[in-house]
Amino acid sequence: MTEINSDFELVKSFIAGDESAFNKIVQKYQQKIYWHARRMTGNHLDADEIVQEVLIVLYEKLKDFKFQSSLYTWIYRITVTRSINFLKKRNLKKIFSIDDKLPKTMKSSEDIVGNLEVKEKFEKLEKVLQKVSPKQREVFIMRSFDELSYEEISQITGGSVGGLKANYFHAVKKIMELMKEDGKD
Amino acid sequence: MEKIDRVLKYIDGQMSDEEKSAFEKELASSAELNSKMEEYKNFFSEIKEIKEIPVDASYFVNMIPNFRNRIELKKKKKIFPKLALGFSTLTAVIIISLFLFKQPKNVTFVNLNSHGIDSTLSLLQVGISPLQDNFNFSNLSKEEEMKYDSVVTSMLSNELNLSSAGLNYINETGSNSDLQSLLQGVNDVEANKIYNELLHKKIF
Repeated sequence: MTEINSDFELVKSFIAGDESAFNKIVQKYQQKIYWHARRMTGNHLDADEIVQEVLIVLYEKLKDFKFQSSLYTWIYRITVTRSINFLKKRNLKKIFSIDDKLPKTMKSSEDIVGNLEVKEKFEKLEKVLQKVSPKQREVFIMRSFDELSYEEISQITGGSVGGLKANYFHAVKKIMELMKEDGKD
Repeated sequence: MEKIDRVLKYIDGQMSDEEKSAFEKELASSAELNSKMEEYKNFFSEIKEIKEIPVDASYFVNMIPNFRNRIELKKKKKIFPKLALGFSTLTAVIIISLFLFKQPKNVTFVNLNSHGIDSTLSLLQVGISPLQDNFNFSNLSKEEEMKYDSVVTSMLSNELNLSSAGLNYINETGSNSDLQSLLQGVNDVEANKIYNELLHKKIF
């Protein structure tokens, strides 16, 4: 309740013209936005692009937010939508070979994951996640990393709880298989 | 349900109390189930490890300043298209105006509205009267008369959609005094109706 009040106060302040209130909202949720985008896209540069798009949408639409859901759910919904749209555009670009400058591998200096010990496992999971369908990837990320309930995920994505559970179970099995195969390479 | 699905359901907390209790009893006695359980537990603990990886904090520190720069750039980009649109619209208006209001050479426009209808008619009369003699059909030679007749005939033919047989019939009966007196008895409303029906039908 305190969190909702705090978000409510921040939104109210922003609507009243306090730009620093917007900065506080961003600081509060920026990691969640980034990591969802990062896990969906598999690389830092694409995740950064999505983050900037999400922030622009937040900035323009926050004045219209009516608190029909929590602020976090609303922000997450925008992030999920932008991520899925980005992936669709990226796939289209691949199909039509547009923008041949797309880097297949990112330089390590462009990544914010610096810890080498965990980086290997992280990159392995990132690679594996890209082989799972976006819908399954999405629910896996929200359930395993953000620890959201199926009801919360349903509010964000609009999917049915039953469908989400099925997607999650399929995703877990597939990711485990792919991790084993990757380990054998 | 497959063993894997039951393990997942158990780990995911989707089992009812009864289901959980039954599963735990089975787990106690099944090596295969235990092996699957361990496999999945290891998987989820790896996920948890990856979830909390240390990252370069400066990226998040700079996120807001980068965002503010983008907003400023976006505002500038909004102004430029508006200016471009305004400029091109103005250019188009100037070009169109030049064409519309440009006076052609050696033409004097008379504003008839300023003269009124009566004076307009008298102006026309003044213009036409020198030419009126030329339009007196009684002064036409036979050749000229036939030329005018053929023009009128072809106009009638095209408009009434008549064949040559039909036209001949009209020409012959046109001079018939019975038809003439019949035609004189037709008022304007009836004449219009007949005319419109003739236009849409082929009579002969």
